[in-house]
Amino acid sequence: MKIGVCLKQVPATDSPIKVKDAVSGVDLAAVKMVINPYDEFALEEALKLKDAGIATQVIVYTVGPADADARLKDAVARGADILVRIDDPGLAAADSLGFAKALAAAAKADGVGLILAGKQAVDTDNAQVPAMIAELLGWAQATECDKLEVAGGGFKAWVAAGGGTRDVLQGSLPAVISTDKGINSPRSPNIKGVMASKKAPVAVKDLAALGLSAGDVAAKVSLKAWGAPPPRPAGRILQGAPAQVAKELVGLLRSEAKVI
Amino acid sequence: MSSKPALITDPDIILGYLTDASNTHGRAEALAVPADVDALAATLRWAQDRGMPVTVTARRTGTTGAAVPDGGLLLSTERLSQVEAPDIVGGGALLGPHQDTLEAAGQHFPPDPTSRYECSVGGAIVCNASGARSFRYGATRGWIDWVDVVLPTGERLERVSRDTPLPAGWPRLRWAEPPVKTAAGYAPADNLLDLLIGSEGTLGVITRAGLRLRPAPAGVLTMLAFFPDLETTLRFVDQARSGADRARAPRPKPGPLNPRAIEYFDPNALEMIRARVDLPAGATDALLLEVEHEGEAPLDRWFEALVEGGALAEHTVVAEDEQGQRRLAAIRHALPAGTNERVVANRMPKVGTDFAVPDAALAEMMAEYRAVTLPHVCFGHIGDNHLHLNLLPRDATELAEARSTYRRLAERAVALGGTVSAEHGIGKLKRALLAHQVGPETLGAFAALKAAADPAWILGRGTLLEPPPAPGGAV
Ligand SMILES: Cc1cc2nc3c(=O)[nH]c(=O)nc-3n(C[C@H](O)[C@H](O)[C@H](O)COP(=O)(O)OP(=O)(O)OC[C@H]3O[C@@H](n4cnc5c(N)ncnc54)[C@H](O)[C@@H]3O)c2cc1C
Repeated sequence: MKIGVCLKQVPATDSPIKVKDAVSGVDLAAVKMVINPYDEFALEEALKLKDAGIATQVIVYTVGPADADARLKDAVARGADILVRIDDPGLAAADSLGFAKALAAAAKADGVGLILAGKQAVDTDNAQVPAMIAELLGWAQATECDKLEVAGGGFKAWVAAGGGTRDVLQGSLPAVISTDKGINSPRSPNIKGVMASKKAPVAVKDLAALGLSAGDVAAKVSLKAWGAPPPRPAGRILQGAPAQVAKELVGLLRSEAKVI
Repeated sequence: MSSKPALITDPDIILGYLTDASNTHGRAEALAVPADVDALAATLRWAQDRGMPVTVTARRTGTTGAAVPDGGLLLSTERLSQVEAPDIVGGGALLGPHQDTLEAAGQHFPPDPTSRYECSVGGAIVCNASGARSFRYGATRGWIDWVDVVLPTGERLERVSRDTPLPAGWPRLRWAEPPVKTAAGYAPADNLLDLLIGSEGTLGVITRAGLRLRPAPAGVLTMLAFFPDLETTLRFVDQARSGADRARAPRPKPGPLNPRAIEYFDPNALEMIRARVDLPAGATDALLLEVEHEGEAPLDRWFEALVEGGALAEHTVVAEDEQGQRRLAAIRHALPAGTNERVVANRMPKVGTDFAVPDAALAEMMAEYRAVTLPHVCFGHIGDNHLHLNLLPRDATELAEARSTYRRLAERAVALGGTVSAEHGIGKLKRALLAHQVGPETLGAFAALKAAADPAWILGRGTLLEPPPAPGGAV
C-alpha cells in the first residue's frame, strides 16, 4: 500500500509575526519556516508503517512555492520516498477547500490507500483540510488521532472525543487520518539520508496536471481583513507592605477577577 | 556613619532566598533589594561600617552554595535588571532571554551555561560561567568588555575594563592557573576586570556589564555520532579538535573539521536517551558535534571523517535546521532530567564532578571515570576534557563511597595538571578542594587580596576562603 502524507510549511511558532497591513497580510520575509509540527507526526506514523512492512511507499504532498522544497527534502531524509509539490497561480488565493481538492486529486492519481495529515496547521489553525479530503474522496476519516493501528485493510484509531474522553474508531481503508500530539515522537534523519535528500527530485504539478482548473479551486471563503490580536493589557503590581498587599489582592480577586 | 538602608526582615520573604541549586540552606537576618546602584552602594557602606556579613544573591542557580548566606544581610540584584542597549545590561538581568533578543537581531553573545534561562548576567560573570560552546568561544570572561562595580567598601567604579589597574593596596596575584578551562580561584590578573570575573561574589557587586557581541552564525549543523567503543571515541575527539579554532588554541585558519562544540555521552547516558533516538546496534558511546557554516552544511566532509574514524557513521543523526536542532537539544536535556529522576528515586543526593584536565590527560581521566563501579552516568564537554561524572548512590554506604571517590578523582585531576572546577566554581562546598589544588602559598595570597579589598571581610564570607571570625553587627 502507498501512503500519502500531507505536509505544510508554516512559520515557526516562536517567530515574531508582523501584520503588514489589513489587506496584504503578514510579513513572512524574516520568518523561519518549519514543517507544521502536527504533520511531523503524520510523517512519522507513515514511516513507522513502512518500517513495519505495511506501507510500500510514502509519498509526501505539499501545496506551496519552491521554498517549501527544503521541508520536503527533510521528509525524504527521514525516509519518505516520493515528493510532490503542487504549485499553481490558481492556488494563490485558494481556501482550505481548494487545497483539499488539489491534494485529494493528487493522492487519488497516485493510488494511495491511506492519507495521513496533521490535525491542523499551526499557522491558520483551520483543521479543515483532512476532513475535506476524506469527504471529497468518499473515504473513511478519523481526526485528532493519538494512537493508530493499521492491519488487514482496516484501521483502528484512538481519537479525542471532547471533554477529555477518547473514542476508538474502526474503519476500512482507504481512509484519511489526522494526527495529534502523543501519537509518536518524530525521528531525526541520519547523515546518509540527509546527504541523499540533497539530490532527491521534487515532482512539481500544476492544477492542469491534476485535472483541475482555477475555477475548481476558487475560494468560497473570503478574507475581510488582517490584524494582530489586541495586545494584552499590562499587568498590575500592587505596592506596599506585604500584609496590606495580600489583603488588596484577595479583594481584587474577589471583586474584579471574580475568581474567589 | 552611613544611614540605615531599607531592609526586609520578614522571615517568610527571606526564606525564599536561603538556598541555591546546591540544596544547602543558610540563614540571614535581613534582605535588601536596592532599586538602583546608589541604594546598593549605600547598603554596602552601611554594612562595611558595622562589619556585617553581606551575601550577594541573584537567581540562585549556583551549585556550590556561594549565594547561600551564613547570617547577616542578603543583597539581591533582582531590580538591577534593565537592558539599556543590546550590549549594555544590568547585573541582575536574565541571561538567556537577552540572548534570544540578540539572536533575533542577528547578534550572538556566546556564553551558554545550561542554566542560561534561569541565571543572571552578573552571576554568569562572577562565576565565569561556560557551556558546550566554550570549546570555541571560551567562558564568559572573553565576552565581557567592562563592568560597573560596587566594591565591598561601598566605593562605586564605572566602566572597569582591562585598562583598569587593581585598586591601590590590592596585591597582584601571581600564580599559575592550570592550562585548562577553569573556574577555581581568583584569576592571576593585572587588571580589575579580569580579577572580578570569576570572583564568586567576594570582591564586588557587578551592577552593569558591557557585553562583547559577534554576528550570529549563518548556519549550524548538529550531529549525534555513535561509536563502538571508548577508544575510538577518544581518537575521534582528538581528530575533530586537532584542526579546530578553539578558545584555548585559537586558529585563524582552521582545518577541515572545525566543530564549535564536542559533547560526550557514556553508555549509561545512551541508556537514558534510548527512548528518544534509534540507537544503532553496537553503539557504546556518542558525541554531539556542532559545526558553524556558511552556505551548504559540510556533511560530506564529516561523514568521510566519521567513516575513517571508525564511528557507526551511517547512523549519525543530523539536524540542519532549528526544528531538528530542537529535537537534538531535547535529547541532550533528557540527561540532566534523567539523572534527577534517578536522584529522586534513590532518595539520595547525586555527587557530580566538574573537573577538567589537559588534552594529553583526557584518556587517563576517562579511564578513571570508566573504572568507577558505583551507579553513575557520565556526559559533558569532552572537547574541553571537562566531563560531568554523576555518581548516583542508592544508600548511605554508597553515598559515603561516592564522596570518597569524588575526592580521589579530584586529586587525580589535579595530579594530571587539571582543575577541581571547570565551570561551577568553588563556593562554600569546595573550599578544601581549592586549597588542595592551589596550595597554602597561593591560598595565603588569595586571603591577603581579600583582606585588602574587604577590610571587614563582609562580602561573600565563606566563599572560596575560610573566613576569619566575624566581628558581627546587628541589623
Ligand atoms: C540546572 C543547572 C545547570 C547549570 N549549568 C551550568 C553550566 O552549564 N555552566 C556553568 O558555568 N554553570 C552552570 N550552572 C551553575 C550556575 O547556573 C551558574 O554558575 C550561574 O552563573 C549562576 O548565576 P545566578 O544568577 O543564579 O547566581 P547565584 O547562584 O544567585 O549566585 C552565584 C554567586 O554569584 C554571586 N553573584 C551573583 N550575582 C552577582 C553580582 N551581580 N555581583 C557579584 N556577585 C554576584 C553570588 O554572591 C554567588 O556567590 C548550572 C546550574 C544549574 C542549576
